[in-house]
Amino acid sequence: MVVDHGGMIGLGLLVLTKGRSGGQRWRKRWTSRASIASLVETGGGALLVCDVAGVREEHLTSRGNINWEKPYFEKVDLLSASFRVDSLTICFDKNPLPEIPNIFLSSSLLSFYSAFDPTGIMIKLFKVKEKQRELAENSNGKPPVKKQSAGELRLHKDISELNLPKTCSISFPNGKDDLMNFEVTIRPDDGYYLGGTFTFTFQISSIYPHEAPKVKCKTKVYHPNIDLDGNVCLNILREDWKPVLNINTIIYGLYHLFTEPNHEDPLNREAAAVLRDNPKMFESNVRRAMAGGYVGQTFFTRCI
Amino acid sequence: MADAGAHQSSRSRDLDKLLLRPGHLVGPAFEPGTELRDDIQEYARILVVGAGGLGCELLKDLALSGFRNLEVIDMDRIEVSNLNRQFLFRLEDVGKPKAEVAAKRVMERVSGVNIVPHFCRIEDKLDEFYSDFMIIVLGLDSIEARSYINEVACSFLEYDSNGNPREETMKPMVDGGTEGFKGHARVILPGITPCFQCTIWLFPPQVKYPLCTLAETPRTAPHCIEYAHLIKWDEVHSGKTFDPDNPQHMQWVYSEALKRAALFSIPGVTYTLTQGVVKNIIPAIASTNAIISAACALETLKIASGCSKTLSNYLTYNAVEGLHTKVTEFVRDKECLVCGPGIFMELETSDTLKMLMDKLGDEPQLLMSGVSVKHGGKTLYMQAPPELEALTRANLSISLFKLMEESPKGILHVTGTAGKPGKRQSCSTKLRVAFKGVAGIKDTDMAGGA
Repeated sequence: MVVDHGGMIGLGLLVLTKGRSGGQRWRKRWTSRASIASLVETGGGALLVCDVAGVREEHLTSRGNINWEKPYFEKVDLLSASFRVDSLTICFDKNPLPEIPNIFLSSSLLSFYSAFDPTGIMIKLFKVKEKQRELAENSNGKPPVKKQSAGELRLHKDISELNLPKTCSISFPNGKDDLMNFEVTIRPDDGYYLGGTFTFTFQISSIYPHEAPKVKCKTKVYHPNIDLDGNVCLNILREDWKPVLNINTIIYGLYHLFTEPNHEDPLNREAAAVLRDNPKMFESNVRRAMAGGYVGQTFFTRCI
Repeated sequence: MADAGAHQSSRSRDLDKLLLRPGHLVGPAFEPGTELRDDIQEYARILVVGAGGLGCELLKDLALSGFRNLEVIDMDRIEVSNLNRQFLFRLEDVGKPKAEVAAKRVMERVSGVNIVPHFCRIEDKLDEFYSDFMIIVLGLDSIEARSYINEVACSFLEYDSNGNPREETMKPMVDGGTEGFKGHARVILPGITPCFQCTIWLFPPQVKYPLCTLAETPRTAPHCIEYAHLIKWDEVHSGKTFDPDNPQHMQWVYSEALKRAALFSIPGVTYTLTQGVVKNIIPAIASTNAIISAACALETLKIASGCSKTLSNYLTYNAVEGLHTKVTEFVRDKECLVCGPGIFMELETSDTLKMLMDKLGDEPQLLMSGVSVKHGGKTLYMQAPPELEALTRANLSISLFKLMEESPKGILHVTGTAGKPGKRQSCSTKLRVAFKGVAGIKDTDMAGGA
């Protein structure tokens, strides 16, 4: 690893510190020689210092239970400097990611020293190309495996962890290999919609869960929060969607719409007004719609 | 110029200062000299994704930075509204494919450069197409497209048995993005710096208005536009999907939004705003594009030549109030399903899917139970829901080698509950599977084989 000397001006030393517990992350910081002592005091744990201007200074202090072994620095050119701590070897050389006994290689340390100088990695691109050819030939002309978008992978997890109430079921019209499009059927066991069967279509984006699923109600329903085109007013589908939510949450949310329809977020204004002003009439309208019939000018197909 | 040699040297004069001389700020593999310069010209193949505001700038910058083998991919045709900033296009080009016109114009101006245009969707190209480039430079305006290219580029990445990325399989990406006065440039070295997926949370969520607000209580011009777009469209065109790239569709949404705005006495609905809201477009500033593209082109040159350390790893540029610019070193998501190493497992070709799942329970790093398994586009086993469990149960007794089309190695994705008792939690990870006896080196000792 080449450390940019330019970055050193006015800073002096590259210092790696680690907390006493050993489980904490390595921290790198630039500091002056004078303030090393205070780092040792405040940081506790282990401290490793190198003067990157030439690896002339070698300095190591150990506290806590990490057993450091000396010598940690060999006097070599920075381009191939390496030091040893127990069985962990960090090589600052042209070979960007040397073989490291992985037991000791905490990933935070790896990310530390790889993030430290990414240019160390970008070498021999022309050679890389030859290598790619070779890899391509090695694949023996097998058809490429279809790649999975991050959205599909996350959805896979969501689906495999589904824990639905008895009133809800899920189906995959395109078969087991297309999880991105599915249908959820809800059969409310309580409330105005008891006995009805309502199906929702879900479309999942390739950048799910960054983007909420697109959900529509396939069954025409007389409902204050679902319009006659199947648009659903559910906050977690739009303005309150968060990537930590999942398919299970949405299904519960939809189920909730049937047990607790609310007139405050109307998508079907007429239905909302009836629910607000005359719940008895709302109930009979819902029954009529579910049995298959007209409510006002609108015909609903039977869904019981 | 009469003397071709002199012409050549004068053209690369500035570049030569970077590429022919040693320095102490250079990358470790930097080998200055005319050979490097000539190699970049001859061998370095760069793909520019997108030929819009950033893409036009990028092609010009890269061509003038000494790259001679460029390709550009874009699915769009030129629109009048592009002409203010996509400077390679002229009025008479309106309607022509952006990639083709951009390639032609740059080749006309910069001699010796060859640019191959691809007028198609990025998904239309096979992975081999992307694999062939040394560096992929992104000038895109969508998260989906970035995500897709990132997934392709990261799919080339391989890890050795210790979980370290294999350098020769890394496909560097340089990503630029602008939004009005703001922009970013970043260098993605899969396996080293965070990939697009590692930091997808950096993108703010899209503004989504509650549907009931749109339907009942619109207060702003965007509310009226979204009403026309999301609710009215379905009401009138039942079953027909709205196409934001179809001007007639857009015009229809605009006129409906106007009616809606009149009804509620809301000012401010214009055609441009309609496009902006529906397609999520923010007016582009040509100079922001130029600044961001220049940074990206320079990073590309640095990666290809090693003539300087690369940006590490995310530059933000914000000129909204005064000017603020900063480089942040984001860290990788160690468990990233796209670029992370996952867990390596060596299996017998006779091992069944069920045996693999049992092994995951014993694997000290995982201790995973309730496992569901996916391989590429195939769902191999699902714990839930019952319908999928039943559809995939038969796979349990089939050898994984067979399920993976007898490839010597491959990637699986598994999810389940993992961790030590008391600390068990839901977990999703990548498995790098290799089969003994068939993987990698042709092993003459087949004892471990089928």
